[in-house]
Amino acid sequence: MIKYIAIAILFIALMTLIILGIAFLTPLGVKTGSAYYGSQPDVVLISIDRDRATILLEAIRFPHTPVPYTNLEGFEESIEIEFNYNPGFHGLEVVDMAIDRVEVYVIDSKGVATLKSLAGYPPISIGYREAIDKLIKRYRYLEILCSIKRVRSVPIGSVYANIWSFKCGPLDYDKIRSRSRSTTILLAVSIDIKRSRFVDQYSGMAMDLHSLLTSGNTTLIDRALTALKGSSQLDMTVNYRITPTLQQVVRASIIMGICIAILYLYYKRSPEELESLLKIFRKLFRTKSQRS
Amino acid sequence: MRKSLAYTPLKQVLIHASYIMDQILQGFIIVVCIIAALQSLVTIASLPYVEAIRAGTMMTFIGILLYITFQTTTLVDELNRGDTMVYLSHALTRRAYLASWLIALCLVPVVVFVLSLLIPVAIIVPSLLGREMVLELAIYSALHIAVFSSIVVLCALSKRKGVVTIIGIVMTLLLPIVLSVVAYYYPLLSMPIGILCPFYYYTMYKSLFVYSHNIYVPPAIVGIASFIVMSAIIWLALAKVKSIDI
Repeated sequence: MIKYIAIAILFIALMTLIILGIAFLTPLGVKTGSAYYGSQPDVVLISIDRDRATILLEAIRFPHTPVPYTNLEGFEESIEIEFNYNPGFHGLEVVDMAIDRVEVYVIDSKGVATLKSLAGYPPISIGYREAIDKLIKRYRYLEILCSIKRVRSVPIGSVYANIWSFKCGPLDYDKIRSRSRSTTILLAVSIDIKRSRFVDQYSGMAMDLHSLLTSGNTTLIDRALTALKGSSQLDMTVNYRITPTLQQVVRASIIMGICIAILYLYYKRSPEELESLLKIFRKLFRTKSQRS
Repeated sequence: MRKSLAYTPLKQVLIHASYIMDQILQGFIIVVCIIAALQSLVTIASLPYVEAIRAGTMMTFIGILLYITFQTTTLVDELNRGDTMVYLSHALTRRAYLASWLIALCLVPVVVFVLSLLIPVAIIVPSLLGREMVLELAIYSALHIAVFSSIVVLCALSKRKGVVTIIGIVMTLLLPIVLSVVAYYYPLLSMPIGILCPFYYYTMYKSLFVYSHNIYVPPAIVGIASFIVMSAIIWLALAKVKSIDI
């Protein structure tokens, strides 16, 4: 009876290897998991020069990993983030916003606290680049994940005038997973302020963002910054690919080798039984013409 | 001196069991390959959410039960054709004859199915082997196959293929539906049904359906009861085989 169990184990290990190979070579081995994270941007830092204003939006806090078992052997992971940004609440409607760059950073909770303490009033008191450089030097917690040059504006009905959609990936999951207790993804949105225009719902006045931010009118600036916070919706997609590892192949080979050794020892004693076993395999694999 | 029911010459049993396996080896290899491929697919498709292996295993499990049903009809054919007399004339007792069929239809499928569950996991993600879920799947599927095959072999002693086929199909395909319905409306009645199908009972108990909290009896107790019932059925079959007309 051991003979039959050995045959069964041999075929089971062989089929497992074959299926692993098929999974690696075909879309069968690629899986996608996604999670939705809605968040209200929290941290806003702004820097402004003649042509650009940059805001920082806190996109998502970890650990909210959608993958409960990520350290399994033979899995490669890649992450894509789709971020929908809809600015323009609180009385200021965005009629046109020219976003020419988005950078995605990973930062830990200490870095977020530092950024919040740096974001004072008036908000343009500190430059974004200066703050980022400080964080990188002092804490080394800030790492850029990706940079997007062109940003698509997606108008959706009359409720939301414009949604700017950013897609970023594939990203290194290890960089996003926490090195500390919690990790945050920040988006740095760079806006061309001369081309971007707002409409004030109270006065009906249309103005470009440059004029608005350099007007000196703190109430208006405050409303503009609040409007730029807007709302955000983050969708994260995690792609997994099966990649057979050498250890898996070795394990399967060892199992098959043991079975072949057992069968060899058995059939060495009874060569006539080997002939009847081979006859069965010939019957299994004979071609159609041979059958007829 | 009257020999006790437990006395069955082991060597005779193993020789005849090997003979039976040789007869059905071609089908056995095909079924092993199909089940192994499907179970490997289930393991890969479930990862990294390993709980999904439980749901995917149902497919291969139904396959092995249908295979046992089909192979048991071969026993019925032998009993009807009179081939059995040839084996019995070679110093093989009736009990040894039936015991060898039980090995071929009960023990070997149990071992093969459990191996088809564990070997892909051992190759692909060995760290999962120690997981409670994987061990529970192996234990309850083994129990269920053993109970199922002992019942169909007992039915085979009626020498009616139709009885074996109907019982096999009902227990494979209809019993899980009956169990689900009974568990929803009469939770306590699900235990007697669960004794006949401990794997179905276990998967339902662990499922995410809302009514699963109505099932009061843990699968472990049902499993122990299944083992006792299976032993009783095998004992009954070995006792009955002496009196049937071959």
